[in-house]
Amino acid sequence: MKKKALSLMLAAAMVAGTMAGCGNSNAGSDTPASTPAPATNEDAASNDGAADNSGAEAEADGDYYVDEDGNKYKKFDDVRLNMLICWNGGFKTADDQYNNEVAAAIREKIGVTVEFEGINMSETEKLNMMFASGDMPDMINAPFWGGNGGETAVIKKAGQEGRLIDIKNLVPNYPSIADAYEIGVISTKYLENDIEPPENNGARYVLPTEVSGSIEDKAVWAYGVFVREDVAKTLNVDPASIKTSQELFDFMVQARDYGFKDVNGNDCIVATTYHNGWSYGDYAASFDQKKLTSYELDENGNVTLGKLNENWIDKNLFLWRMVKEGLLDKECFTQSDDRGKEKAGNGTALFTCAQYGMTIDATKQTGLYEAHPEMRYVPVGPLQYQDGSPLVQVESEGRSGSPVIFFPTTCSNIDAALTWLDYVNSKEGTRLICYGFEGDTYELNEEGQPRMNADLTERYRTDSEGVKEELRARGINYMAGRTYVAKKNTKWFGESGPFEADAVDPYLADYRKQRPVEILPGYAIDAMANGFEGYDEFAEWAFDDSKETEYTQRAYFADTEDEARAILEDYQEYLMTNDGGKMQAFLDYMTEVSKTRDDFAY
Amino acid sequence: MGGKNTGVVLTPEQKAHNRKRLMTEIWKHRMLYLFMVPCVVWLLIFCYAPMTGIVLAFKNYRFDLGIFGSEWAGLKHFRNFMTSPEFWTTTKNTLIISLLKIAICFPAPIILALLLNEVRAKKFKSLVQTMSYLPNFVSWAVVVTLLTAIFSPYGGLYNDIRKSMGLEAIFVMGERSAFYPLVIFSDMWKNVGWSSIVFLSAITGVDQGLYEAATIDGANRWQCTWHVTLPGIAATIGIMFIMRMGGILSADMDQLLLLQQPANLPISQVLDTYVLQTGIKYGKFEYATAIGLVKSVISLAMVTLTNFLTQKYAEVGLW
Repeated sequence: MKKKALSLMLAAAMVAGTMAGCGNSNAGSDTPASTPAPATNEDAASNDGAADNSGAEAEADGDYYVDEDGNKYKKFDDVRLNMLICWNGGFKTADDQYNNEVAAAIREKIGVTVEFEGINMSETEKLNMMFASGDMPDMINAPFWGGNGGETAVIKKAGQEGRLIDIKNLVPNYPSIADAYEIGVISTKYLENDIEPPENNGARYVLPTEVSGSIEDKAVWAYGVFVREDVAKTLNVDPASIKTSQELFDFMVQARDYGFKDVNGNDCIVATTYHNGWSYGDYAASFDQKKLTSYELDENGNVTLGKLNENWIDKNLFLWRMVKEGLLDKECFTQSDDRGKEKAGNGTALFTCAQYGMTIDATKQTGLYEAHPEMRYVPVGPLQYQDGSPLVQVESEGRSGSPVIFFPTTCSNIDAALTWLDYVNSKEGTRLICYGFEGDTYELNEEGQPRMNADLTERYRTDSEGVKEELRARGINYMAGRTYVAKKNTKWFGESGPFEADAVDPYLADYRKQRPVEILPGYAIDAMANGFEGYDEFAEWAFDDSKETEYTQRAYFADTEDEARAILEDYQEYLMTNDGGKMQAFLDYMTEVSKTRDDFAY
Repeated sequence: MGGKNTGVVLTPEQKAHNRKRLMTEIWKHRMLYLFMVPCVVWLLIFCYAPMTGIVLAFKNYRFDLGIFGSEWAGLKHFRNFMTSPEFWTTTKNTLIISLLKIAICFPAPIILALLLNEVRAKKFKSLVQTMSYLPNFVSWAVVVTLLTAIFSPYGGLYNDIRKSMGLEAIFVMGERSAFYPLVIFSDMWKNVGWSSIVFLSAITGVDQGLYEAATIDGANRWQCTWHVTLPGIAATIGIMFIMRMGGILSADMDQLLLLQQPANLPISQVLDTYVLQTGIKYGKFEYATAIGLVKSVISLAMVTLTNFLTQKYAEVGLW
């Protein structure tokens, strides 16, 4: 009998264990009845009493915090929110996100704590899984580069299919983030086509972030090509004299043939990239033209796409030659950032590309310049455009794509979430999350601007990673990375971030001046594309970047130039013939559209 | 096992008697059946209940409406897949890789089991067995990272050896011609030991008297293996083969996804990686489900066909 009872108990326990995993606290994708309805502005306002910073009614409603500039924030009763940082590669935070000093200081003022979580997988994959399962956090930060592909398409679909809260009428109540929609901060094209496309029926689901709220705060990404200084000196080449991709190619051939070694005495790779080939196009930059879109006008005044032209083939054949000649790292197309950084950090790659900051970070992590100062990576060129003008960072009137923050319908307290963002984007809040505490981590200079204290600044010069880690443990200088909306740091503090004025890498500062931002006037013509009948379906294959990458990268590994050319021409033919040759109809439509106004920019 | 049809027609009384006997047997072994309940529950919940999701293949999926609430799309996704250029490429690639694995990787554990069975030194046998099982516990991510490190043109062991021999370094992982050997070699390294367990256990079930009789009749060890051991485990081999054929359109996604490089994409894009790409990455859940359903139907057909053939020619079958 005892045995029987034991057997029954064990079996019951096993069944219970099996069933335990089946519970679902959230509304599943296949249970529409229990899926939360899309919250409207009115819902959110009535549920949470959306902060009305100027309303007397709201003032009477409860406890408020007023910051040093007179901004008023509703104070919540210890609301905890979670925010997904949907960027592949994770997000470093303080070990204790609730009890660190900055989180405690924010909580003391507004009663809200936001805890972050990063991801180590494809962003699109994560977003798709999250929206389909209905298992979503309170807030999400993700890429939103505009157009109809990748993360942008998923986020737009989620908004239009009731997974996101419409924040159009909520955001104006939070003055420190409301300017994110201003033209100049973002472009008209971005606002009309991506932030509030016609399919949204007047709703706005995303809040643009990491955009500049002032002219001084326009981010200079400092893209380019960089070479180990000892390579240039040994080969007696002035890196600044390299102006075209062909000259760069010849320089690389010389470097390859010389037989340089890395810090460990191993053979070197000539040129590498960071994750998944980011951004090998920099090596072929002199095939590019200075323009805003991928469209161009041909000699007959017809609109065409860059990737349908001979120049596109020439550019990709140039990259094929780089691979064929052993100049471009064959592993780079599938490697991780860490692997790329390892190659730069050990001086194994003679040339690097992408943002200068990446290479500088890589060398800091390994201490390359301390042991081998001669191996410092210095800028090449900058290269020139096809027409001979120097490369710049081309921008339209404002950002046409950016990271965004959005709020799933599962957000437990939209008012608290927006209040938190409003506070950390205020002058006082920005200073707190970036610089920490006056008299402790920073002092005010004569202009009243915060500057990290002398000890931290001194240590940052030689051990930036160590100092960042130390500050992060206290909650300082990591939140802003993914939560600033329209950045005004330089306008307010005279530097874009802590240590920038006193300890920024002088090479980086100098290079930023060589690759300045240039705002091209006009209305980007690609904004008109979605007027084409059946555009969504058409864009799915015509502007499928992964398809293009698949073809071009296949071409880079072709045995002969003819084979590479054939693959590239195959892709062009696919574009022109797919779906019954719809591409020509689309180009004809764009040509007609191009005649409707005279301020189109290409 | 076997599922042989004797052709005997039972009377209703005999059927009732058999049913009663079955119930008596079940009651007699009720504790064992009770222990089986969790597995059955697990199977129903995790294997059968999700099958209702197949309906997604016939829908235009919307996040807010869910699988069952979304509008019907008929056979649109099947048509799109069948007429897409990816259909033939991915199907062909999947079949080539699967058939290569069946031809080379399927017999490998049988051979290993037969060889291990002949080892007389117990300690050595245990050592070899343990060593061969270990790679099974290494994830594909680690296996491919190891391969990448070994074959890297920049400091990889393989290319260092080539260079020391005066040869040029080559990017093995990116060579299209190296793709199939890499797939087969890594699959065999990882799975051969673990897969041999089932055959080793089948070998231990072979009647020892048969070996004695064969030896008395003058059979040597090779003849014992060929005429006693192999026929003795034929049923196990048959069943494993039927099951393997069922997975002919599953070419081990983890491995292939990780081994994919721009250069080998035309031969490494298989159905599973394509489903992953279109389904989860691009959010075309319904399209990916349709592909998955096509794959499942073909797999079921393959299992049925193989089962029929093995029953007919080897008297081995799953049902």
